[in-house]
Amino acid sequence: MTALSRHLQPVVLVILGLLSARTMATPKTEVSSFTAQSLASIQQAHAGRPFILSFWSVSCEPCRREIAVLADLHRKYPTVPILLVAADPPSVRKDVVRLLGTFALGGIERWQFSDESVERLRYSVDKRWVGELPRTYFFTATHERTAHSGVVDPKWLNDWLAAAAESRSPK
Amino acid sequence: MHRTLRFALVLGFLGLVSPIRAAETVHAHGGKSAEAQAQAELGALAAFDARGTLWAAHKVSGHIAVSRSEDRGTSWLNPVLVTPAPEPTDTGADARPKIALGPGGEIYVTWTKPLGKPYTGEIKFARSLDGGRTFSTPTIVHQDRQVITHRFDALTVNSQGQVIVAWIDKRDLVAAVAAKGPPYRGAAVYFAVSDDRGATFRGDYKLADHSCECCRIALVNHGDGSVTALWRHIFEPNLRDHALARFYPDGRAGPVTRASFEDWRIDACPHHGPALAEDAKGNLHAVWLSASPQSQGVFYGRKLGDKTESLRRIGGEAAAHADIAIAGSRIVIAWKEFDGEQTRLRATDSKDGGEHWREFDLTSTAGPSDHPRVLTRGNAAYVFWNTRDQPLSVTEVPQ
Repeated sequence: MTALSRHLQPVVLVILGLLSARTMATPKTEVSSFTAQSLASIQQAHAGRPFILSFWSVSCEPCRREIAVLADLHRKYPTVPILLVAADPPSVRKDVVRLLGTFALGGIERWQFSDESVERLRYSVDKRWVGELPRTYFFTATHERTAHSGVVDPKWLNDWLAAAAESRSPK
Repeated sequence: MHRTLRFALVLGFLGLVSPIRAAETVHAHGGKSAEAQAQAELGALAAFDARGTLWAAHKVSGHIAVSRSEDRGTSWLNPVLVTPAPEPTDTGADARPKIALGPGGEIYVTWTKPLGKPYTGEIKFARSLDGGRTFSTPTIVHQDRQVITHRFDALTVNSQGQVIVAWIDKRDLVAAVAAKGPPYRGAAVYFAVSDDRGATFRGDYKLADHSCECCRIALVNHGDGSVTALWRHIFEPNLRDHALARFYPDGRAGPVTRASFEDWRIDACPHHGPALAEDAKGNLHAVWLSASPQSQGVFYGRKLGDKTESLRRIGGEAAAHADIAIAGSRIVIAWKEFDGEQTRLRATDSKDGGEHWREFDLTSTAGPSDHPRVLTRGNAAYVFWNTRDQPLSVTEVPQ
């Protein structure tokens, strides 16, 4: 046991060092894997509350405008959760992280498609969604949802968020 | 115990190096890395040569590779690597390596290599003049070398044996922004031509302004060496329907004609380009996708242009990524459609020019898959479909 500890000590120290460096340097940039079961767990996590689920891709230029608008308005209405899901394969995780890093996303959750078939992942969200991006879903407190393809009008988005934030504030 | 613990610690160590590495490393040890890679790397296309050998361009361990089959895709010989090193390729849903065959047995391959900035790329080209044994050092097709969008390459060999490459190009948008002029809608379609079996290309010739930025271009050859392109266009102000135009190997381009009329108004990337075929009488047939509220789905149309007719909805509401070809006197369309459990490969054909249609459920897969491609040889039609579970599969559409 002593021999084992002595042998492992440097490794443990390096790990601890990296762990703290990582925690300090990159808070809140974890990208979670979006599977065919994820929407159900997301809805459960946000039960009784409105939220926005927005799909984008590193190969979609209009998505950049959409993310910028969402990030801006999230600072204004931080109590309404926003989840960004990259509809890109896990092999381009690096590009997804790099692109997200160019925005001040604050508490916006970051997700990315898993290695399941993209058809299955899209179907798990909405069987009528044919893959166009950005594709954004607005969930009310009772989780009735509105789907929107393309960049959302910032004024409409602001109004929706204002109403959602209002519905979340203590009565 | 000692070894297990050490292994676990090494895994932990690797996982902690960076958040990016962490995900990849965990996958590697969970046995999923190859799958993750595979989904991005399933893009593939195939073509028959005059002798009936089937040639496929696809990715192998990150390299662009070409494989050949002497039995219509039942078995494939070992792939030949086109790129000496692994080559990153565009991961957009409508991007994949292209292959086309010359009249003298030449094998031509193009692909889009992403550059350092988002949405940028260059169109790469390589050829084999020795029956696929070796490939030339890859070159860049376009003269323009700005780090901007040159993506969604489309490749064909025209009836004169000239190699023609068309692509989506953003130089006009970049110039408009630099000039602080009026805003420029979308991107443009450009093309280049090689008269020497791909040794050199001349161009870049502009085919059209205001294309959509993220969808594949469809090409068909005519007997006189000219080519018609069909692509998703951005009509004012933001209608992402389709346009077509004929162009010529000398660089001339004909007028742009609207070819689909769903009025899909959207500021988005559909990632979903059309497919095009020409029958013996010179009529154009096409399939495309629209998600406009009033016309959602995959559609078939013929006599494309101002008088596009015989619109027919293809498949159900999940139908996607259709392709079309003419096999003798048959119009053959294939597409994929997810049914909640499986991605189904389906096909339909018409033997009377589009009046009556038969439908076929060809095969299915539970895992990731590329878009299907219809290949023809005489009156026979086949669907080439690269899936994770059945790589480079070929299924005949019953005659």
